[in-house]
Amino acid sequence: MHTIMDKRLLAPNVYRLEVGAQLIAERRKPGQFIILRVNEESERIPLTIVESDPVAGTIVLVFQVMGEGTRLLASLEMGDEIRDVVGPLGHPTEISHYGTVVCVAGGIGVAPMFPIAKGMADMANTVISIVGARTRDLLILQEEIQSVSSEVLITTDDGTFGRHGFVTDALKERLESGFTPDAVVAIGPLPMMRAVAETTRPYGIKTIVSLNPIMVDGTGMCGGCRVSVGGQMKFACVDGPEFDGHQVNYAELANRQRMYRDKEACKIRSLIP
Amino acid sequence: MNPSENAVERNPERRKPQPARPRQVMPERPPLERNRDFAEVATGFTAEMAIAESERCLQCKKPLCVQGCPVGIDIPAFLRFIADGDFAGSINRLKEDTNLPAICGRVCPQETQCEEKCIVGKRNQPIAIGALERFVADWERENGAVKTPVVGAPTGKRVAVVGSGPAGLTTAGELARRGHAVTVFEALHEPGGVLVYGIPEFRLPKEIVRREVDGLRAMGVEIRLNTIVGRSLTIDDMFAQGFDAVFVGSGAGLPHFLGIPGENLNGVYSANEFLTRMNLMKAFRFPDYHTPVHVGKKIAVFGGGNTAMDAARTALRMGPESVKLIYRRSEAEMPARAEEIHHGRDEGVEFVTLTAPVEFLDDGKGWVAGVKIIKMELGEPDASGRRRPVPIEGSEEIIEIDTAVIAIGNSPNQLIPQTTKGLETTRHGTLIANEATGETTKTGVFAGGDVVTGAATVIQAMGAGKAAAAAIDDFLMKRANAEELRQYREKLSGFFLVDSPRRTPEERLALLRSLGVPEPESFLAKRLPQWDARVDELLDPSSLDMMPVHVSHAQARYVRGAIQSLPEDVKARIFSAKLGPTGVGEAIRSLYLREKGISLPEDFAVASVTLLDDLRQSVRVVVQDGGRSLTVDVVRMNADAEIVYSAVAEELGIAHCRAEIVPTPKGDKAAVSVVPSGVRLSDEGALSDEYFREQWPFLVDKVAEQEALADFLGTETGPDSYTITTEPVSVVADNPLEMFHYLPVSNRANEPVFKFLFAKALPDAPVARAKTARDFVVRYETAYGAAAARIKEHWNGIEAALATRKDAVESCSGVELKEALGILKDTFRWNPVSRLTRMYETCIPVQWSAIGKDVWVWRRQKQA
Ligand SMILES: Cc1cc2nc3c(=O)[nH]c(=O)nc-3n(C[C@H](O)[C@H](O)[C@H](O)COP(=O)(O)OP(=O)(O)OC[C@H]3O[C@@H](n4cnc5c(N)ncnc54)[C@H](O)[C@@H]3O)c2cc1C
Ligand code: SF4
Ligand code: FES
Repeated sequence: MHTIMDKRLLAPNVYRLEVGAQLIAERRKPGQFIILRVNEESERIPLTIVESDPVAGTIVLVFQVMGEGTRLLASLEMGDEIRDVVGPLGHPTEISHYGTVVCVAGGIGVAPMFPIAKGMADMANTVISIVGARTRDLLILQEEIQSVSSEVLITTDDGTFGRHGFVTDALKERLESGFTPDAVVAIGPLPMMRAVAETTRPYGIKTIVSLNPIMVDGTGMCGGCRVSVGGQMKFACVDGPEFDGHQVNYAELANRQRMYRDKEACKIRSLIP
Repeated sequence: MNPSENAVERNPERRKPQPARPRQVMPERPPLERNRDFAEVATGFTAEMAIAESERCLQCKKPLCVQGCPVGIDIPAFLRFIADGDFAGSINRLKEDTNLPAICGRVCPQETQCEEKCIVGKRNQPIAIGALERFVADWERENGAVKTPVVGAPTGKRVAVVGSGPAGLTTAGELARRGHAVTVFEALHEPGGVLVYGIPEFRLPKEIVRREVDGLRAMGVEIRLNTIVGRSLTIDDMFAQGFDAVFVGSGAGLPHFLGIPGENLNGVYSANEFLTRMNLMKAFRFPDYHTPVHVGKKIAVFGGGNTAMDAARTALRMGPESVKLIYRRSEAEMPARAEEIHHGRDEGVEFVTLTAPVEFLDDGKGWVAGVKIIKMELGEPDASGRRRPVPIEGSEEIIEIDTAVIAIGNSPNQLIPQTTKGLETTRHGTLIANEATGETTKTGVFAGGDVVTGAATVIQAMGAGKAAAAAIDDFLMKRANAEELRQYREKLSGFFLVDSPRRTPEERLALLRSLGVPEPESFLAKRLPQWDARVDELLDPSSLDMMPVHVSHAQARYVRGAIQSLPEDVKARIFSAKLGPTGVGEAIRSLYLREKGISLPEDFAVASVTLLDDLRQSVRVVVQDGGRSLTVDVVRMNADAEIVYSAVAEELGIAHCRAEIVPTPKGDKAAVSVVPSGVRLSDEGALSDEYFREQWPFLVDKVAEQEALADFLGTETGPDSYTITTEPVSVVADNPLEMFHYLPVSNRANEPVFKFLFAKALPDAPVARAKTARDFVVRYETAYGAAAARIKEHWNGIEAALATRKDAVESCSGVELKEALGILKDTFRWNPVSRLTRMYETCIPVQWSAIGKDVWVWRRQKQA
């Protein structure tokens, strides 16, 4: 059992949980994730570890209510228990000295991006962060990301804050003006990561994306998380979750992510008496 | 051979064997009823049927069935009890040979094992051994007759078991029986391996697996779920945490795919995913259980093994129009159990044989809509002896499907070999292991089950687990300790196999006598058990009465664990303030011994040992470990140094035990604490939690100060000046509780001593606990920082002065040292009024007479 030590609403439908998980808190590295199961009936949900406190033995998770599983998770309060938490899973982000690194985060992708940006800054990289959200209210962790970046560019789809447009607009403009970073890390919704990869492709800039296919076990046992990278089958849970953004077959992944759309609807209906 | 010639002398009162009587058929629920639900298909023998069936057995003297059984169960013996109507006797006999009879009775392929060999089968139908095995196991469970096996006396050895499939469960049970402490690490949220995530409920009710697991728990086996070895922790971590051996039973869980176009379309599953969703996640009860699964109207399963059969029959239970099982050879070659093939056919699975998939077709919306197949014919036999299927050109066809399940095999996941140095695999990805013992290429690591054989059977996995358990027991109890045992066994006769706090005074006296100590009584009266005056060890409840002759092998292993955990080419110091012959000093000495001819693990050798420093008897050890070369400086504090240490501690106002030199029975010098002027949390039972709760800030301060000093002496001094590490780390290899003192200061709260304090002092409520834990650490870091600053400020002076007084120090008794320090103080104008003395003014000694031991605790004096 894993106790929820703290719960905060970061933005509409976006929550931050601090969950007791001693072993994971001690071991995890930026870029790794956990899989949790709220109770006996619920699904196994993968979530990136945002931060951890090895002393208190807690990990921080940030999630947006999307389907049934996250709705159930959001219904838990401080002091409540999560039945199973397993991790840390996946390979940690390759944090090293690249030079200048652009961290592009969309939506709640900022949360998993923060430890990576911090790690990059600690390795004496110049970190430029580009953060995008649909609207002003959905911008989260601004202060944190500021604290590790030498520059932060903010975009909102509706222009309510920062620059009006997408993260890729900001990125593209920079690249076109002759700026060439040594690496780009993109975390966010799949179309966004794809767009970032397309933006950097002509410049041949190393671009890392963090994939989030549907998973079950997270140990390489089911193959449900398989993705095509450079024409090869990879299991995102053990071979990833981060891959070379220029090699990923995004269309296939987008399709696979939609596999249970109709079932989600069915589940939600069943929960409303 | 005439069967009757082979028959045993029989009790004349018993009826004659009835081999010609027709074989009893296990009742099954009607196919068209059972293929709609997940309840068990076969309902088992009644008592009458079981007796009748077992009466068919000839009780052969040389039973062929036993040869057919991978674990050699004494089949006639347990059948005979059934024939006599003694079901309890039967199950007890059976359990001598197998740990999982209720499971094996259900899932073993008896028709290719024991039953195939049964002599009765030559003329009539073979005895229904599997059904009888299942019958007695079920009888025991249903009649509440299950007894938890007797667990042997604790050996003090700890074994980690990776994976809770049949191999892991068996190994765990066998080792627990022998008195070893077993912890099972399982990646998933439920124990059982393939038995819970793969084999469906209708073939093996999960309740049965759960009971087996409960039985293990009742034997004291700890099961840690949600723990992925290789990610949550590594095998090397396990050794570092004090496990003495590791068994890897992680199975063959990595699914193979066909490698044909369209395989990643929606609606295409691996059998593992399909079965896991169904069995483990209970997707068949969606939406009550939230995990979805897609089962359309037309399903195709690819493969011909048990997995394929299970997937097909599971799919069938979701009520589709059709389930086709597509296999590239003919039915005769199908590796699935005959019974399952027959069940599948009865229930309505369509078999499409000599057919291979070529491509999955898209419905235009990203879902599978069909499969293009090609017909096959059987050609020449291949390496496996089975005839190789060859495609028939131009025979392509399209079969309309909306769900596909690929069940063409699994191989072992590479996570464990990838994260374990020295653990070698074959080119098929299976672990290299000795067939008879499970020994892998890494010392202390054993393996068995599918991870070694590739996907095989439950009974083989169980058999491998059993064999490995015996080998592990042997490894733990004999070989590993051979050297120590040879040296100490006679004299100690099992003495140190008892945990130190449980030793009686009589035992201690006997030991001292056997070692030739004159006047052992007075020896003990001098509190000699507390030779280990290591300051922070005072906080170790288990070091209450450490004896000088502890098993050095354990220490050698810790040293090795510490060495292995270091990054490549990092020079580290292993610092031990241990005195006398215990601790790392001894460990290194034993390594040294081994260097001179006594055998070592093949990949572990001491290349050289050089003495660095007389004062502290530091040695530099160059070790070859698993192909890499490491230089480790081991700073062993001898008795003199300990005196210095305690004197310095006193001068700096750091809690400690004051020490005096006393010769040990072996002739070494040891320092003995004469005045308990420190904090000793000696007996946790005697100290109320209340005390810990009230006093923890004080205790944390003391620990921090002591550790600052220990770190300082260990990392920043010595003839070779500064140690280079990648992190601000010092390695203190010492007693088990403090063994992993190689964490950066900011992470110290993970150390055993802290965990101990946390556990004692913190409230149970998790939220409050987390908060207090944070306070703990802030407190620690503050105290550590202050003490470190204080030490640094004075150290240069102290060391310089000690160097000039080295002669005096070396021959010192406590008195001489005091003189030396007196000079020191004069030279450096220290304030002779130590901080400790001032602290005494606010502390009162509390003697805990309640437990009748000299346990000293310092309690902060309440202000009047
Ligand atoms: C669907 C199906 C049907 C079968 N039917 C039959 C049958 O009828 N009869 C028969 O005899 N055999 C059958 N088999 C084969 C049989 O189940 C296996 O041979 C047997 O379970 C192997 O046991 P094991 O203990 O080696 O591994 P598993 O049962 O595979 O157990 C391995 C365990 O280790 C865990 N694990 C893996 N990696 C790690 C890690 N890194 N850290 C922690 N835990 C880890 C896994 O989660 C799993 O729980 C079947 C197999 C399948 C898949
Ligand atoms: S089961 Fe068959 S082979 Fe085995 S003892 Fe009985 S008669 Fe002999
Ligand atoms: S989630 Fe099952 S293999 Fe990755």
